[in-house]
Amino acid sequence: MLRLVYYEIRKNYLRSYVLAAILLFLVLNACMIYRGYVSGDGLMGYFMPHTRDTKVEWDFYHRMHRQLDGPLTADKARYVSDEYERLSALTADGTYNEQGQTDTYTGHIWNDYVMITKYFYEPMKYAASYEKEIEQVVVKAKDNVSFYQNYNNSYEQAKNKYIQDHYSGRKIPVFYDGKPWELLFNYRFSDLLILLLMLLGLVPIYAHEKETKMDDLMMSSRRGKGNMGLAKVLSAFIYIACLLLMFSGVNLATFAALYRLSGAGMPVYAIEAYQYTPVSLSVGGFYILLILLKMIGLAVAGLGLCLLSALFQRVIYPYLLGVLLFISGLYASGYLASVEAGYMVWALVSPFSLLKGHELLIDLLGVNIGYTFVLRLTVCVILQLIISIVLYGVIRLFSTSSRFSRSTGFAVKEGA
Amino acid sequence: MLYPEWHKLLIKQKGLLILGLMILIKIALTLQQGYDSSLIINRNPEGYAAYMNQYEGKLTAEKEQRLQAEYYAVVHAGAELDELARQWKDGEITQEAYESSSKQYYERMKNSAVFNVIYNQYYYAKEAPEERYLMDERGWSTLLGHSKPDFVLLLSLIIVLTPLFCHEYESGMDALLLSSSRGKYRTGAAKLVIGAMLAMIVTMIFTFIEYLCLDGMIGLPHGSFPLQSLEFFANSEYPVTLKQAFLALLLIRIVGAVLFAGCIACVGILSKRSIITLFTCSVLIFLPYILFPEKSLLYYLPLPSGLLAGTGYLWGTVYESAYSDQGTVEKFVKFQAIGRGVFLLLMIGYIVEIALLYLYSLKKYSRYMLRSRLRYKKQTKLPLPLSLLIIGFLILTGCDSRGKVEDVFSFDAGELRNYGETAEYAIQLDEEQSLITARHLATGEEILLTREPFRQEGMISTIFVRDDWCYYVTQTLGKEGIRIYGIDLKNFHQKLIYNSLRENTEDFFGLVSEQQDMEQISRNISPVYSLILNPNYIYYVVDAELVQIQRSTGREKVIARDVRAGLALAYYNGAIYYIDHQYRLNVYKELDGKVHPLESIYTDQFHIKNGELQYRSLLDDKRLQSYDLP
Amino acid sequence: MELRLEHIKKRYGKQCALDDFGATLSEGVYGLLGHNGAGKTTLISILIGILEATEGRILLDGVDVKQMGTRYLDRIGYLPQYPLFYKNFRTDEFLKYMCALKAIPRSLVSSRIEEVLEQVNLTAAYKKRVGALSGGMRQRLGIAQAILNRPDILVLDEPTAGLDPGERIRFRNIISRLSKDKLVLLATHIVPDVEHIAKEILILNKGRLVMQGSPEQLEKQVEGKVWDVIVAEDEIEEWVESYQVRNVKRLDGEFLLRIVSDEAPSGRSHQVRPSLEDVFLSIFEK
Repeated sequence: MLRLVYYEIRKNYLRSYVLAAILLFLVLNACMIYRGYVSGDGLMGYFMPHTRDTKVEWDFYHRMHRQLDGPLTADKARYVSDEYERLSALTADGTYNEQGQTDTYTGHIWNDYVMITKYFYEPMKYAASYEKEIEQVVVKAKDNVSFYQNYNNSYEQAKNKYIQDHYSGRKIPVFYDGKPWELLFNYRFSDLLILLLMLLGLVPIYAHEKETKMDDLMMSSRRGKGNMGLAKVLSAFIYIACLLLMFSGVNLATFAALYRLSGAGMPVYAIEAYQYTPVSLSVGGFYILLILLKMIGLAVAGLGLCLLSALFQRVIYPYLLGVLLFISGLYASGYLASVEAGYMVWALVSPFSLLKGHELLIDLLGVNIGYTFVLRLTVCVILQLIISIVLYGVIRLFSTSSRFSRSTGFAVKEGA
Repeated sequence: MLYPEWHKLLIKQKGLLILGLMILIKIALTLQQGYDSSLIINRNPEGYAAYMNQYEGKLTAEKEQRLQAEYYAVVHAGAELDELARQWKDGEITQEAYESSSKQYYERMKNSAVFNVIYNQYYYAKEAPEERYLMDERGWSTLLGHSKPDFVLLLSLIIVLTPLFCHEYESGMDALLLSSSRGKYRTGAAKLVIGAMLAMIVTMIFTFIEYLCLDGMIGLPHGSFPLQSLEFFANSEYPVTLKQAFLALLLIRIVGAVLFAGCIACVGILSKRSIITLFTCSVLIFLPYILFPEKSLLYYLPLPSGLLAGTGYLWGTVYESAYSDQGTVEKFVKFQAIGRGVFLLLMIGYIVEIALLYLYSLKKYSRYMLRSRLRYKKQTKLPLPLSLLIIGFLILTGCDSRGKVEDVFSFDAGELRNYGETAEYAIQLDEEQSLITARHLATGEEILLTREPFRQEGMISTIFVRDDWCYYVTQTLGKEGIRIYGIDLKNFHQKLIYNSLRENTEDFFGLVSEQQDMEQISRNISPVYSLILNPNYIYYVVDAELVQIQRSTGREKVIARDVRAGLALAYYNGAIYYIDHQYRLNVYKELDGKVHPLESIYTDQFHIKNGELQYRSLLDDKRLQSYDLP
Repeated sequence: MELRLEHIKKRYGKQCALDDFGATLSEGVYGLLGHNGAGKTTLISILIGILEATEGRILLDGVDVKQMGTRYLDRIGYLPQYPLFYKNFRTDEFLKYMCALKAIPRSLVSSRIEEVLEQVNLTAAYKKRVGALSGGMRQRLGIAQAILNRPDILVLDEPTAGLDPGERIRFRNIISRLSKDKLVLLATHIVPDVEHIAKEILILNKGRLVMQGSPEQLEKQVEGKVWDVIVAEDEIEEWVESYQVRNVKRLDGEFLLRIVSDEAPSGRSHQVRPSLEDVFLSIFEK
């Protein structure tokens, strides 16, 4: 089987045009990240653009982070707080001086104030007060558990128990710049490129065998059925996994090089947007989880493409249907945070929802299943696993359809 | 050779079938996407249309005068109406005089919101009255103001045109074609011509579908008005009419389609494989929209993307507002206009590019150039049935449930908009904190109903309590729409009752970005004043409008626009009673779906008790009187 | 009619696919023999105008075909190797399409189609889909489309590949009939296909024309060099290693070897009459 898988990879993916497209897209991906870095796009303009005009600010930004990054100590907090107070007082009259000023970090007091507030004071305040804030949430949840228990509201009881169990004991003992990580989690352009490459590599996976009449040859071989079924599907998974690893690696490397990703070990809720995330992983672990989720989602989408390829002889039709399915799947995934049950189910059935693992985990999103609280992410993953098994079965059926001849007992290809 | 190649492409390669399918998808999507509009106009389209009919067109001195006068009248309508009411209450004028005089103010108050929209349009037109006419912009803005690519068109062209050459290579017919006297050059040229013609025809069909659908949905009036009448085109330097702009757009898109057809042919000839052609052309056409969304650079690229979007060539410079670091709102250039001279040069460049591309494709296809002996020889606003089907479906689903069992329940919004009682609990809304508490009447125990441990999403505007359920409305700053939740007071289980907030967050990698700028985000959304539910309908009051939502379909309908703010509003037995701007008591009855003023009941206060409406009569010295409710 | 190929060369970078090929051809059947990669398809592609030679020229009746332009293609009929055609076309539709490609006037299309189908014995398949035709029928359809324009030059590339013996014989008969007033160039590596019908054989090896002549003339080149010898089973390997063995045939426990050798390989061997395959072997197995 491994050999068959290897040959499938060689046949379908190790082709010059596929490799050329992958290389081109990897470069394009890196360029897009760089462009966002230079222009300051993303996160509603949280970051300044990287230009000659902002060089001083960025130097100050990196200098301060080098000084403050690491364990969150009282000294650091005091230092930032004092600077904030000092600059607030200096800028309280609301005037803005366009002339350069001495004895400042960036040449302007107002700039100093904005930078200290936005990039250090507020994030540090958030980190320092998180423990207390989340403890209040846990206390409320605990109250709710006993409250709903009294009224036999099992679902709310379960939900608040979940909050109690998963949010207790949280604190942020370190201070790092979490926003670049948030940018990395939100970055989706590479997903688009992977989807395009999947179309390129997977649409011909079965169609091409039929075009070249190799399907007859395979079916007449001892391992033909296995080849047409499992080997191709496994090769598709390997292809998708390689694409995902390559692009995730490029994303991580490029972000690290440009934004100086630091604090991979800090808890993911240290990023303010993720303060209510139900997972208590480190930021690095969270990124790996997102990749794993994407792998599942892309694998199911890939199976969909394989099925379409198995249904048609020419690549045009599976390509068209594949694109339409991608569009509708992506649209459905837009409802993953919906409060309406119908839309939510539609979103959870779509494998593209797992490409947005960061949205599924940014807040506590759950589903009422038999009066039990279940994370939407869990439901989505289980649904995708079920869908993948069904898809594999159907692919196997369509790609290897045969029946025994009634008279001789030998397997006969359909239509013979 | 044209006919055999047409036949092969459209019939044998099922091009016609695919195009038919894509046209249906295009129509459905165009109808589903609707048109650009504002909430204010959507709530009162009749009022907007009535005002627009009076003032549309070129601004004249006389029109300006009327507008100013109307503006003054609208602004002062409330005060005038109050003064008239005072005069009538004080006996200075008779009731008949009050009724006849108050009507104009009453009507103006009802339509004040839409008049403000028109007045803002007037202000815009006033800056350059020769170029800017007053008009209903919605249809034309939708048609001309977007640079979003037409995905269905692009996908259609890729799918239908890829087999034009690729199929020959994949079936091994290329050698036969090239070794035939007509197959070498004529067939190649015929294929290229067919590709170009089909691209042009399909583009025209799709563009006209957009035109017809919009014309059917909202209308595309006054095509002869200048392009700058649309605020979006304020800075456009093209002195053309709307229709001319549309034709220009069509021509630009046709050029783009021909260029795209050439790209598909060229890639097909070079690669000789369908999958490579499909992939490459998809990337070539779609990626530029993602890489340069709504940027002027898109329109300079030597690719068909800019041409197929088309509208950007006609735009003026577009600005976007955002907060600066100083905390002020500043305008930034979002899109730099393409000058006329530059546009002309670009078009010439594109035409040259098309010619070169087609010649190169022909050369590559025919491979080895034999001298060709020249022979001159004579040698081809909305589909009615579908719209009727849709309208019919909407009507059927919109059929109300008249004749159903009546609802004997009373609710007085004046007293109960933030308070309600059941047999066991007294429910109170703290609007400032967005908290709802229930006090057990027997034990005095206070229970918090809004028990979300995390931050409360949105602000709670009002509550409604009945049948052991507490319903409440939440609204989110900067977002249009409401959510209504219900809490079962037996087990405190919360359920979503209604949602009109747009929830889909998918932006297709930036292609359909609905990013709002700062002005849009900070625009205040009026809070919902009161909420009423019965088994079939939900009613809520916002500003001066009473809105009905049919629970089975979720359709919203404004049933009254003259609800006087802050005064009583009550529900009883399938009818809603409210005081209008003229201090008349009105009733909306679900049975007939109409609003009726209750004759001779002028009041500023009323409530319903034990099947009786008790009101303070303005006709009778504010004495308390009663009215038996049916 | 005379078709003259003069010093035809085709280079792909440093590799030479055809090296100084020259020949003069007239009416009749010509067999173009050679291993895979010998240059047959390259030569054919140049001949039918879909590939440009690096050097050399082709003259038809003294006129450079480049000067003739597409008029030259009017005089060509071509059957490619392993044709798929358009599987979703019917036979008649496909031939009508080919008539359009070959500029056959509309008024003559029906009669011409009828004529060619009769010639290749495919009249019964007139309304059948191309995809539903058997391999042999598709090849015959291929010939039918090739002769639609009544070409002077008929180029057939591996036309009998995949055909059963009956079909091959039928095919040869068709070709023989057609060759009366046409130049038929039949590229193949199946020697028996041309052995009995070709007036001349051209043998290509590594891009060069190594032998040209009638079958009899070529056979004469190996006359006296072809031997039959009977050996035991355990001797076969030794013989195969030592000599050019063209055929091994089993005979009741022993084996009959056909050997091409300048000298008699052993006392047991006896000389036999050479065939074209022996000539083929003598060139390619050296």
